[in-house]
Amino acid sequence: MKTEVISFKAEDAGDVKSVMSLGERKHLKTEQKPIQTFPFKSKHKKKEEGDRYPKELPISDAAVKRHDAGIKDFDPEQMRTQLAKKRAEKTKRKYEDRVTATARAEILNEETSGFLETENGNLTRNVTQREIVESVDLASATKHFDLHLEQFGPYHIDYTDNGRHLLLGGKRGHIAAFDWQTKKLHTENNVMEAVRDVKFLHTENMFAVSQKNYLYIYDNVGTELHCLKNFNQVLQLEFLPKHFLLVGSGRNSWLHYLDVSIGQIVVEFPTKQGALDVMCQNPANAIIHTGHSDGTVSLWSPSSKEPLVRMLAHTGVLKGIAVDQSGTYMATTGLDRKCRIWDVRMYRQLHAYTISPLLGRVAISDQKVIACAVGNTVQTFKDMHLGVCSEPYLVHRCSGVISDLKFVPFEDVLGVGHANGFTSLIIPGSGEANVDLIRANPYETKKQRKEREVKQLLEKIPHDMICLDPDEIARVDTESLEKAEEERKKSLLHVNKPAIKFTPRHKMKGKGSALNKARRKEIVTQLRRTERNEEVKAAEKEFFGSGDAKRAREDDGPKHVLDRFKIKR
Amino acid sequence: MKVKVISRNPDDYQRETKADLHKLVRNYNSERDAFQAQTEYVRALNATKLERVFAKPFVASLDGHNDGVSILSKHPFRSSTIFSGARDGQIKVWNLPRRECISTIQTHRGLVNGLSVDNVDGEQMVTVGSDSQLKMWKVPVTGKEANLDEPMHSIPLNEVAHSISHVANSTDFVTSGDTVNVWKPWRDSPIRTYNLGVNTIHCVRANPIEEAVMVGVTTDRSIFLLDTRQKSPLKKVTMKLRPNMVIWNPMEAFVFAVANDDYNAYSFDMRNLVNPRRIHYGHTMAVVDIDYSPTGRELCTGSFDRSVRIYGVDSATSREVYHTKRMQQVLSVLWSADSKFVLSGSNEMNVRVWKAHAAEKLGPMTKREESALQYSEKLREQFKEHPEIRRIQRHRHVPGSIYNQTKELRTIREAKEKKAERRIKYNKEAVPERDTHMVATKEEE
Repeated sequence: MKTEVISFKAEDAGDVKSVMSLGERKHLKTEQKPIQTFPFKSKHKKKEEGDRYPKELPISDAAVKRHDAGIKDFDPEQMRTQLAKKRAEKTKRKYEDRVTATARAEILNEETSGFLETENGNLTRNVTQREIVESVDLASATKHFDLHLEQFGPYHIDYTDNGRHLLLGGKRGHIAAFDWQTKKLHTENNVMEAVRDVKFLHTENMFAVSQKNYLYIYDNVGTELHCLKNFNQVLQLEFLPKHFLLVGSGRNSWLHYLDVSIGQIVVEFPTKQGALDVMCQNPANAIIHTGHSDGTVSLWSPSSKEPLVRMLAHTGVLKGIAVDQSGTYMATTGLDRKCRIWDVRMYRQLHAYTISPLLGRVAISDQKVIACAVGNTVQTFKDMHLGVCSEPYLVHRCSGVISDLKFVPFEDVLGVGHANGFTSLIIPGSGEANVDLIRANPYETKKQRKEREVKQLLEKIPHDMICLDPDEIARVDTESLEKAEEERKKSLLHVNKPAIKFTPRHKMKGKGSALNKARRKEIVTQLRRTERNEEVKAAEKEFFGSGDAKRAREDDGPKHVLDRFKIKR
Repeated sequence: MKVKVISRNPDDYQRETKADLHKLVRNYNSERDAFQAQTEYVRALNATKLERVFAKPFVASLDGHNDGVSILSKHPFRSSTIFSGARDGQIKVWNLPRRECISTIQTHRGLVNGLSVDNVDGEQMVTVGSDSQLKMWKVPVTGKEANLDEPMHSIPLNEVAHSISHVANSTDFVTSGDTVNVWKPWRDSPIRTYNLGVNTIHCVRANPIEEAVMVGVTTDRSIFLLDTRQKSPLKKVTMKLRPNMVIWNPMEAFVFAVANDDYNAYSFDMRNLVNPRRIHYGHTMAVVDIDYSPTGRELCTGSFDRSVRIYGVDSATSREVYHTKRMQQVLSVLWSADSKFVLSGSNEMNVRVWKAHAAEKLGPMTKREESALQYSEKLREQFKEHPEIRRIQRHRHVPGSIYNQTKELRTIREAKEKKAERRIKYNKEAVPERDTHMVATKEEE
């Protein structure tokens, strides 16, 4: 048998000590592990002092706050029993650990968002697209491009939710769908009639086109799949991906909701507000916002034929409207030269900026950069929602009057549709850098798309669940509980009025008239009835608390001039 | 001028080869999904519907008996061994996972009234029959042993014994008939006899933990507790209608359940027998047998209305009802030792095996499948009080007879409730429904 020879390289071998005597070995043994005496010295502490790499990275309070969904306000001390308190404490600890863990996980985000900085006091608004293109990498430089389509404009545009595909619809019938990053054309067609708006459905494989009279749905090779005659002269289209609803706003003031998964119009109703040419959706609660020529904004859900909310936004005609991804901010533009920023949760104006009488469409990006169309120029603004904006961030003049503006999700790009074609602009710092592939995947394969479609269909939210607060379903329904409790109390207190029986004493003939008898009966019955009513009132007062107190409180408030017309109790 | 634009390397987001898994890049700082609650609700709704779709509880039918199966019993140590006894005195020993009969023994002439296996080594089986005999048998393991047909020991009794039960951790056993007798094996006379009056004691059960305690029911509608260290019974209470069967909770051994003739099952706490701890409604005819799950959290009942119901120990209504077209009056039920199956023996000579959780998937599962099921179960639990989900989760199709009878019973109950409500309203004395099931409100010492 051959024996294998294993030889060490020089660097494999460590320091070899010479042979030790027995005494030395014993010494070594005792040295090995000193017995710890109480109090134990914390090894951990020692490590923290000098260790350059602490075990856990410190997290900023801001990060914790960002991920805390309210567990800080949860107080286990309020529990009634010791056991419940212990359990609540455990739960709280679990949630707090989760918050810190997710906050710590932020460092796993690899991408950083874009930015643009100028030197020597130069303004960013003077930076041109050409300058930006010259100073960014080649792949990013291709994201700025111009499509000259003079014959068919003005153009309406739409991007898919993953920001990968672009749909163009020219007023004079030209429609085109393509992957705008690789510039691969899916379909191009001329429908030979007016195109009012275009919209992708849940995938890039289907899109809706609102044409001269009807709404048509085409697939990715341009085959006409459906013609919907109910969608008559639709001016604007929106798609609610969680609900599979295609919303069209008509020239005749009608709003149509089409469930594209079953092909049925689920709701349609007239808004009675004139032609609806300004519309957008709130991505956080699927409410449709429409802007009207009287400067108002109405909020619609399919469950109500009346607007949920009406806000007076501008003193003139409303030209553009957009809601940000988180559903917090709404931007509106109007003929009164103003761009206003609103808090949609409170229906309150936060800031207003005077820009230009030519203000048109408006769009908000993931990072809340706001783009306004002013005639044939696009002005973008940073931090408009914070109220610290005094200068446009970037400005670009297009070759025609702008008809549509859309930011690309997950990219620093703004798509502009105008009278002479389409322009893709690079707006550094406008897009969300980190993609969550579970929610939207720009690098989706065909198989992934198919799987997503199935999942999305299974989790389709019914249209009647659209409401202003989508979290309502997870809350305790206290309202109906209170109502039931009130009913119960009332039924408990309810007592059938016992009949008052009183037979006047019979008097001998001639001693009292029948009239007197009847009168006596009436008086006694009345007395007893009053007595009983007093009793009931007292019991009610004890049970429900006095209603007078509430009334008194109302009266105490500040007097208004118009109070004199109030009906007195 | 400094400028940076988002520029991703597609390789960070796409898999390298087709054999790889897709990369899943997350944004750990993303906004909360606004539709999370609604999506979870929809998922919960789908999960509930799917649970009902997959609810196929019937597993197998064990046939071979020649008369109604009135006894079902399990081996205390071997979870695969099940005993069934029919009204012709025949006992069959089954291997449950293989669904085959190991052995058939003709134990008694006439009915076999009770069967019990000892709790020490599980090798002795004692039966009593209507032929006034008490017989001790060897428990078959493979069924190929010699002399299985011959009893090891046989004692003629003075009375007909109606039930038998082994004492905890012992080979001793108790029988009940006109009297309650405590026996030691191999002895021809009882070591202790209790005379509880003229009524027949048709069921007695020894406590699974406390050796000296036992509970029984008599034909005069009463339930008694007995301590073998004392001469007279501990407690005795009487119900409005006859209790048919009684069983101890294997986990909380101070709780026992009673199957009653008044269509209900009752849970009692032995420390307070004035009123039942819980009433389990739902059957539409007399409940004849009852058994706890080995976890002690659920119980199953069999009734003359040809159905088997499963209750949580603390719930008034059943979470499950099992029936088939051919199943006649259920005479006996049993919860298997692995707590996954429920067995029912019925009048048409069959033993049926049901799943304890109707939609449960049997057999091994992949990790992903398991976690998906756990997730959907959690969702169902979270949204169970939402009206639509609650409706689907509770809906059960039952035979017309049960459906109509339930409706009638509901009308009766509602009328009674209304009456009680009105009496309370007009300051009259009214007894709540839960207190109307016992005759004597005071415990007899």
